[in-house]
Amino acid sequence: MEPAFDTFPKLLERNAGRHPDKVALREKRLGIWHTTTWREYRDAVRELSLGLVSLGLARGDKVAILGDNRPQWVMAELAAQAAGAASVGLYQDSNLNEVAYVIDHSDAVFVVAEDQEQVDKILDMIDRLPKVKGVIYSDPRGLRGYKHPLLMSFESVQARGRQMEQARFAESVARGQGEDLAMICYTSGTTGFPKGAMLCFRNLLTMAGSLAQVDERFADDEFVSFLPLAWIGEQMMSVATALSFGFTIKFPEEPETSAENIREIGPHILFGPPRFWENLTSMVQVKIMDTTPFKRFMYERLMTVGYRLAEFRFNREKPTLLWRALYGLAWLLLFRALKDRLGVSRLRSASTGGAALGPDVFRFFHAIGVPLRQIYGQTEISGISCIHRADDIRFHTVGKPIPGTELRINERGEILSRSGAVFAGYYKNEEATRETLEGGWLHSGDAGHIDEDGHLVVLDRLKDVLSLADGTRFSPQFIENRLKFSPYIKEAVVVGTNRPFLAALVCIDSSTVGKWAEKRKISYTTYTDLSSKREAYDLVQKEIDQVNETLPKAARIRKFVLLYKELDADDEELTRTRKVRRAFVEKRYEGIISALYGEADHIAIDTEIRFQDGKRARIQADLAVRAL
Amino acid sequence: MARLEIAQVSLRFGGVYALQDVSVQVGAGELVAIIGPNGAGKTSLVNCVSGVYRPLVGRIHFEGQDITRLAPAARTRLGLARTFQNIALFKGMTVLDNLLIGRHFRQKTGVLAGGIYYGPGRREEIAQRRVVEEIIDFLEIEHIRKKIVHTLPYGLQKRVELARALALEPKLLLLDEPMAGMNAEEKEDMARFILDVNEEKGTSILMIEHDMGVVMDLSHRIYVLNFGKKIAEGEPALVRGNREVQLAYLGAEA
Repeated sequence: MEPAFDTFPKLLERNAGRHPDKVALREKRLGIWHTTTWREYRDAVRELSLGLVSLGLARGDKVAILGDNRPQWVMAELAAQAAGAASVGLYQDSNLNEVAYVIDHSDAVFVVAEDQEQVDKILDMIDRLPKVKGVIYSDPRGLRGYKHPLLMSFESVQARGRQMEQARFAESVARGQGEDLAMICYTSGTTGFPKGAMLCFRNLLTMAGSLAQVDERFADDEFVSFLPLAWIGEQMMSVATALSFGFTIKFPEEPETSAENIREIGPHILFGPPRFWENLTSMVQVKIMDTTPFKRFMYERLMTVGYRLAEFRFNREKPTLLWRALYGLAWLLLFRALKDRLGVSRLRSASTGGAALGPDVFRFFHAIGVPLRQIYGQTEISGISCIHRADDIRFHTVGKPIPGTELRINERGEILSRSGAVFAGYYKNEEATRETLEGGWLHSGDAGHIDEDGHLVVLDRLKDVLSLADGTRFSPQFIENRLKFSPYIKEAVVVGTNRPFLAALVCIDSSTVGKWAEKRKISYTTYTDLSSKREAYDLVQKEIDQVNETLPKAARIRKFVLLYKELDADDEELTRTRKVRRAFVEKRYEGIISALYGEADHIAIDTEIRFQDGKRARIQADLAVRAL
Repeated sequence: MARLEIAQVSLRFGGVYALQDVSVQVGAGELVAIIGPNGAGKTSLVNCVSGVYRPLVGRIHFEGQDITRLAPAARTRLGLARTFQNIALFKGMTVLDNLLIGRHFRQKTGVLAGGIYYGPGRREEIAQRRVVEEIIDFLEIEHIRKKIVHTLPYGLQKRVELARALALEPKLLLLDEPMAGMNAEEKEDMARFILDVNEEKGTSILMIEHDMGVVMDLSHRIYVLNFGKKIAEGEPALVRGNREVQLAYLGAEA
């Protein structure tokens, strides 16, 4: 990292100076990809930044941003940073309380909200947000009748900025330093209120530089930004890395079209949580189940070839000539077309992080020739500390530390790390900061160990390693991940603390189980109905049996129920990054769990579910308890 | 002057009066609902406006012009569009093609010029596509743009039908049970779109709907039909309190 370019706005200026007419951003609107060059990008940021300053934004302030992935999101972020303020990203599907908490806690003075949906959330809560001086929207649709004094449009702020003396922007950018606060990333928090991790430019740029040493980036790479920009993983790529290396970011038309848009773009770099990769594989599996017997036959034969070749690679052996020739044939007949279908034809850097990814999914992508790797990190270390090296991929590890990162395991078995990317602390929470950064090391809260080859193996959250009544130690997440590797199981929660045995709450995957049921002419109406079918229980039982075989006797699942609804972030059962909030789920389904340890083989359910807009609906069901 | 003026219209099928002396007015930018029990004559009335039926007596004026005897296609050119109770889309075609067909009446290039691809044909195609894309954006159906209509869930097909009606850039939109068969979430989306069309585009809307919650929330005015006769009209609160309406709906003391 050159000292002269130690902040995001400085990098923006650099890129706009060096390649003014190169495309920086692309967004699909009205069915056409529209481009923004680096010069236009910088100009838009300048106007917005000066506009915000004219409205009273000062150095050290915070600007909250709420919306889908659009150019305006990153422009707002850079505009805030150029003015010496920090950005605070909010998840676009957050409910009112979450939004109000983060905005108020972060002391944000401006909120950039994309559209009517998001503006409504803010205005509904405005009484609880006394520090907010302005709410800026970028999509005027449906907002015509709104007359709130704090409400203003993105363009009107830019227009104000154009009235200002333009040179002030360059001065303000030049005043920025690497140690300045760039953003506060609120971590999803599987327990309690989210904590705001303060990240400086230096942290983020150190991360971008170190990661690129083991996972190359080029200026002509294409990247599709479709995961929440409030998430550190998306910030890593769409902002820190894109600015450092000057590559192009694509924004999908709508969140629903992102899979299709990824296919149109054929990106070189893709980074997604396990769920993203699992969805791609299950989509292929569902389609193959549906196709003609001949195609299915060919698919199965040719995939065998792919799997064999992937096997060679995993074992770090050189494939024999025969297998290479067969693979060439399989590529011609299947993989070339399949990769194109998935939009991964040009993919060079494919990674997954946030949680464990099943070996089957890994094998699948390596078989078709996508070099998928696991990464590991926390928001507190700018998103990443470990990654698989391209030639050294192992299912059960998360790879080795990236350059400049030290890693060690303390006496409690906790993973600690240290690097220039480690954050500055939690905003307004010194106690948590002290605990997390004790002794100068970042305490991840994850239990793990380093194997003989220097790979990091992550087991579970330290506090989640539990023991049964007889003292047997077990990691629920480890078992849950094994269960979730089944295409039929979407979510699983394993319980058993201080109980005689382990039991599981399972959510079926409605698309694959639904397909499976159709094939067998099992009729069903809703998710609740499907998950109460005896056949669905039989199906899941088989999957659990398989997992049980790989577990020690005491840590096997002895009873389970299929939940009548999917776990949902709106019901606070998952975090916004879709991790199970164990304590909450255990409390909410207390009745079911205690029934699992009783004699009953049926549980009557009468409960309420909540929609995103706060409406409620009642669910009544009869759950069967299945003993194994 | 009202945008749509239905004056003392009667319609008879054999010995049965489907409509008797019904008068309805829809002003510019107004959202008006027609309610009534099954067989009250609601769809018959809409069919008179769109030109499927010719009323026996009475006149229908659209923006001051008498359209009582006009062919349906001519009414479309004047700025009338409708959706149907049972979806009437080209099921085997994509959403995009269905909408482009809605634009066909605005296209002027002939078979020859259109067939050449370059030149006026292409320019026109691009202009029409833009209009259609704006409607796609308006109704948030980008993700199904290239999907075949019959593969879509019912709620989305309903939305596509609304999109096709909007492709005609109507001044008056006739909606025949836009919410029928939808779940709560789809209904809410549809209600928002109907309001948006009315408010953003200033389109007058005449809507038949059974969901009373929707009707009471959205409409500026309501007409109530029963056995082909208008039994009440007025603002939602007024109609709700009307005793005759309560009797027609509930059949007894309410």
